[in-house]
Amino acid sequence: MSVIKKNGPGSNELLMGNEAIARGALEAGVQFAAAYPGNPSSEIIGTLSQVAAELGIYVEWSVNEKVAVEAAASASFAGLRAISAMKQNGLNVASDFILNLNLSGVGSGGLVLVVADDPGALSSTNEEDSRFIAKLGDFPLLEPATFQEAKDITKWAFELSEAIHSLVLVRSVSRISHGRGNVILGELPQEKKTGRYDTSKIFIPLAVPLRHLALHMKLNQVREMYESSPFNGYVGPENPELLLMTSGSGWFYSLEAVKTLNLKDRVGILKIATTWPLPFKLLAKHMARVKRVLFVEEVDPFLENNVKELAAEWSPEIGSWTFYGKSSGHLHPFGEINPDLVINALPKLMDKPYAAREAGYGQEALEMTKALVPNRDLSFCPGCPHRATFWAIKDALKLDGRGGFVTGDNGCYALGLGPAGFFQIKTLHSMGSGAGLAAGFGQLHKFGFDQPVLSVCGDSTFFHAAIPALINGIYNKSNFVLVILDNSATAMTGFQPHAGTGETATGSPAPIVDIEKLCSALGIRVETCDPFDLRGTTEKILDLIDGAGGVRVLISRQKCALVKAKEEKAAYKVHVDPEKCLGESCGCARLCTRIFKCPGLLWNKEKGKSQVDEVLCTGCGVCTDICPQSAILREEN
Amino acid sequence: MTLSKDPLNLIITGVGGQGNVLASQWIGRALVRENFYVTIGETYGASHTNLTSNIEY
Repeated sequence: MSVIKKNGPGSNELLMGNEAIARGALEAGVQFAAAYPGNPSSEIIGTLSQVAAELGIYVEWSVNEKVAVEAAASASFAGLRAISAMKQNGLNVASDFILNLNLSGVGSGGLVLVVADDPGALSSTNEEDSRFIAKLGDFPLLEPATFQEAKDITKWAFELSEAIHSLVLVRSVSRISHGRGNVILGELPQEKKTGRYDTSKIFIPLAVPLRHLALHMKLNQVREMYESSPFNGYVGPENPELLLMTSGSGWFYSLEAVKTLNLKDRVGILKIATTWPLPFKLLAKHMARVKRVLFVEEVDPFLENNVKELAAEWSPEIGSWTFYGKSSGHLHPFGEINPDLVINALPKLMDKPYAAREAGYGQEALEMTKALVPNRDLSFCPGCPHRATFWAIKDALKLDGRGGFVTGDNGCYALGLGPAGFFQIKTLHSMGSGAGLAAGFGQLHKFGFDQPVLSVCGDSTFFHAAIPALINGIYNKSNFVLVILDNSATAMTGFQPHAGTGETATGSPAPIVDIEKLCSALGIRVETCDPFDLRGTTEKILDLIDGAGGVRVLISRQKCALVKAKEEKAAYKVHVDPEKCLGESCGCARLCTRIFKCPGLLWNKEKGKSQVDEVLCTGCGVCTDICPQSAILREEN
Repeated sequence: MTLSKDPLNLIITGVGGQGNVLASQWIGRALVRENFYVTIGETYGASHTNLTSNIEY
């Protein structure tokens, strides 16, 4: 039985941070959840979708984050508790709506927005710190530091939202969202509310300055609630020589650093979960006891600068302080932080020399592991259709010879910027930006620009944000080819269904929004191709970029190899004929294993020939068409 | 938080990562069942190369 729906108060379970957040929402009696997937947030709504039918809640994968929060807000307006979750980039998409929702307020059902930030950009194109939107939009902000808090804070966030009729932000980071730890479960409420819109109410930001003022008053109310929040806490001596002030993941790292350096009698740690608005009295109480403060937080100095702002008002009545953190260079204002970084910051401040290991240990360990860990490039999976599409694009642009290039987008295919996609992608920004940029490039012929422009985007990305850019290009008579890499899945984030897959988040059948029909209805030339037919795809691209101009669409359609492997048996049995493969003497410079580089192909050093890795090969058969000696053979299964 | 014993770190490394994540979950669940306090760090998403799971209990 799924732990998530277990009604066992007091039960001690191992949960992923995102599962704990989902559980917190369930314990709060959430009835509506909507999101667009994005790491590290995807498992929050994913977890809820798995138990939705049984628990009688509604869960949807929305087309994008803005639509998701709008959908969730409507449930709140109708009196139901609702949640949305997204990654930091997603918040940007949703921000236009929520920066009006702050003024209109939410309904009688609590509305919680979880943003999972990705410090270090482990799976993102940026590492923005979402917390600033709390200050920008006057939203209450909460930051869990443990897996238990991930659940408990999410649950409480609904109460807070209902108490002040505001959206409440919960900010997680990768190491909380994707870590796992002990969580003591609470009760699952059985009561379900009926949704009804009270027509005497309006949610319109009229009299904006007055509502803005009211919003500030709401925040003062929140501040008072935060003063006694059980999610803030202090460990350490009465008057520490140094105070570590932490938020989120900084708490665990600080605990470990203080323990490792045996500084618990000299250093205190103040964990702040309520990072906006800051609880003045609580902070003043702790800061009155110290002269020096080190801030430990990810990514930007958010807590650090906000506390410094307060300190400027408090000094000298309450005290005067020396502050350390990201501004002082003791921790860096970019990338992830970790226990080592906090440990390294402390010896300088506490006059306590520390060396974890003798010099050279790290280098030695690295050398040793090099021999044990196989080197793996960032690559497409064996049999991935994107590799085939990029191969065809590469060949077509080379044959065309006018310096054509590709604007990229977000999805697995973003790897097309590197060796996996033969360095074809030249730009990568936000969802849909590839098409938007292409629409702009397509106008530059007035200035002597004569290069063909292709834009690639996935099927899910197309629905998310590429459609407005496509229409913009058509309306303004731009000139580019949008290549839609339709692999029938939001593959990058875990195969969530979307508007084109015929399935809802909870597994029920859904109408399929047909990309081909949709594009055709815009009155433009639309072609489809199977990327596994390399020659046909290359010819189609050549024809499209050589054609009459205007906006054209090519739908390169082939299922994600990972999805396909689960549903169908391999199309071909592929092997290398050792007689035909000439190896190093061929002159192809190992085209198949060095350039095409499908992980299903191996270079056998001893024999000096290529061979197929029968475990990894998915039998797509594409590599048979790239070998100049026709040494790679395929037989139909 | 006070722990009755010093924490022990168990580092699982692997290539790709699914087996790695699964192994850490199995070990973690078993330890939680035995009333240990467990913390597992994993990386997901595009960050699928050189994955490590760090179990502290």
